[in-house]
Amino acid sequence: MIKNFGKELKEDFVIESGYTCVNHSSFGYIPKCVLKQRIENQLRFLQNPDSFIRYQIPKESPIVRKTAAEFLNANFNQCFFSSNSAESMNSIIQNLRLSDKDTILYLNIAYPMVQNVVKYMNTNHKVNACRIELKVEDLKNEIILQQIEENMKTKKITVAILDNISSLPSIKLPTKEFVELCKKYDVISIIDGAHGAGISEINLKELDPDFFFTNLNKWAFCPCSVNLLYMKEKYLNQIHNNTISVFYGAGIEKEFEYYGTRDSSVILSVIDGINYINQFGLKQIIQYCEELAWEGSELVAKIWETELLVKDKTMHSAMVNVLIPHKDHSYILECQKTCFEKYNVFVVVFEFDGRSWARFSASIYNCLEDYEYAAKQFINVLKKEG
Amino acid sequence: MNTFGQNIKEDFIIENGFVCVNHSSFGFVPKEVFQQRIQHYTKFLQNPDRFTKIDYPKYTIEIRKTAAEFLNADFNQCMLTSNSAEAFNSIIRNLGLTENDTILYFSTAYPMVQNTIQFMTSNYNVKQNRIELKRQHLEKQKILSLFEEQLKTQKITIAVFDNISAQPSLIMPIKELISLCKKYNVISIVDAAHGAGITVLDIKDLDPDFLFTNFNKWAFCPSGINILYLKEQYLNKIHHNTISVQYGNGLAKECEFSGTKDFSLSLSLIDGVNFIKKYGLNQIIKYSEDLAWEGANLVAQIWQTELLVNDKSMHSAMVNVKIPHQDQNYCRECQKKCFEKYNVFLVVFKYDDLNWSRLSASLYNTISDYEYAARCYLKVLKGEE
Repeated sequence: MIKNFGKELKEDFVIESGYTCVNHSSFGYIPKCVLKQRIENQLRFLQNPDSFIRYQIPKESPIVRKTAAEFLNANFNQCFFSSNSAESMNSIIQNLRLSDKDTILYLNIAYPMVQNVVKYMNTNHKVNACRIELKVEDLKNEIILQQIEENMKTKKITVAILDNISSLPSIKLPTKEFVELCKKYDVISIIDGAHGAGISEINLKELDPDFFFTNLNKWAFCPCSVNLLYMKEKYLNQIHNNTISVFYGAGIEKEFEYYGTRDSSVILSVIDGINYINQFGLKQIIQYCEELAWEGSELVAKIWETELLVKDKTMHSAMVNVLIPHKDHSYILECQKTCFEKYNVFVVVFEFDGRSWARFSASIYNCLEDYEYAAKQFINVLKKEG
Repeated sequence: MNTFGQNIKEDFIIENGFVCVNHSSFGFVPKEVFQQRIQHYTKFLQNPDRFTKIDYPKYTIEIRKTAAEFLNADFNQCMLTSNSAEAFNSIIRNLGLTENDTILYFSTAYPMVQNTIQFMTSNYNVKQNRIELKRQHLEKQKILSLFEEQLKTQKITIAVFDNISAQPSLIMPIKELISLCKKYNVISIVDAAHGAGITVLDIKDLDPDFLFTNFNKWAFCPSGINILYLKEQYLNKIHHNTISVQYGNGLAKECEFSGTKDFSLSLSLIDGVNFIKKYGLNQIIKYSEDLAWEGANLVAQIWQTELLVNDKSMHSAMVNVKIPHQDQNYCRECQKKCFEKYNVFLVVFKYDDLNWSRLSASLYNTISDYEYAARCYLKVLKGEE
């Protein structure tokens, strides 16, 4: 008997009792059945690691990769597991042999890890960085694409990076058009799909980027943390796992299968997470989460008497950004902490374009009351000024 | 020591019926450590925002302090990484090495180390100098003299050497090697993957430039927990190999968060160290070393072969025995068959043109494990299974 989305599903999840979760997106929360399986897999690894690492993982890893690849409509030979987006991004960028003749294009709303990797390449290898500054009024597909194209036209861009769904602020980005622009101007395209699997319908064969990486733990109900790295065939002999280990030079498949002692049993949970999604249907999950994130955030904006960062629903995934009614970001950070400690709800806050915003996420165990509760508690804390 | 051996085996997470003579590759964990691990893990998964933002920054201090005390080092110089590969990559790739630099290492260095050095050569033209250690060189004075010869006659920037090598497995004279590095102004990196829990490591006394050690091999933690130690002068230079959100905020922060992962795992370091303290590190080392020696000698007797090195003092809890067969591929096939049929895994490797097996011992082992391993493997080798 499949339960309905919302409150009644919450007890099926590993969520701290009494905790109101309005931030599914940072790390993800997993169903109890996935955790149970995870612990069994972990035990299997620990009780005979020689067997597990040397014999079982080489057999089982391709099966898991096939499941994940099928889920994203890609060829499994081009899909590899890493621990997180940072490992994937580092593996790509640090193996493209970039130098002072190259330029990396990215948006100011790119995730801090991505921006730091660019900074690292600039500091250590003198790679040039081209950062597009977007303000609130620029957060529209046409403007974003126009600015990207303008830069590709007027500068020699080697690599361009775009989020599938950005983090802070969170909006959907026009990835299809972006990949086309990259092809038009002969630019290597990297899509940061950290927010992707499980909350977007991803079709890599259709999208056809040079590189794509996505977390399976944010929205695909895997435990923290598993990431899938996809690349076009032509890069298979060029890219190395950023951590050089015993399989260096033995082929990218081996390099990602083992790159230092770790608990690789976590990848087995990818199948459990995808099975869990298939139980309900990906489209149904996306629809519920997107609708609720929107409705919940509009309710927050009403309670706070403020507004949404972007008023176009189609630009949103299951994360929406609301203006916080206060100007002092340090004070807001204190309130975030107090609200967390006192009212057991964590509200994501961030600065963008000179103002402070909150980001609300929705998953299948959330309901509207969660956002009402979060909004009311946060404003209570906010108003206890001085 | 009747607390160890058969009595303690049931306290460990070991597959039913599996005869373990290879503790050293990945380690095996006590049930109590695993129970605690599941508690930490569940706590993390139930509220990852709380765990990562509020609890974890406090925990990492506690974990690093525990490790630092255990290794007699300053906790500000001890960083958490996942494994030796991350630690070594982080060191080597951030020292600004160029074609003007040379890395010195032994032929017995672990493949990950050799591969990383090769990566530096391929990508940055860094030079390498490899000291071939053949069987006849496997003696403390010879190792030191070969090493000093290179330091004297070549311009070496960095030297990397094992605390205890993997294949073949021997204790390396790290105190003297570090002193030689100081004498010739060479940066010293100690690969102590095999270290914590099976060696009494005193970093303040050893005083290397860098040292990294696994806590999951011999310190009863689940895979993979590693501590990277570095001298203060490198704290502003070394970055974690995976550039992430904390890049530029100091190495401790970079190591604390180098991308999303299971942040609860490193808490097991404290549980593993507590387990060691229960029995006493010296007692654990003595039991494991004595049994590895006795066990390997029994294997050599059953196989009618010999040990690679006959000096007990050069051995930790891992000893190398000659396999009575010349064909490496065949030895590997037998390794697999033996594993499938008799549920015992023997490490086999080629060294100096001969095939060897490495036997390890931990608290839950007894001499009968080595007798069983030896007889089963020999049966398979002879085609008698």
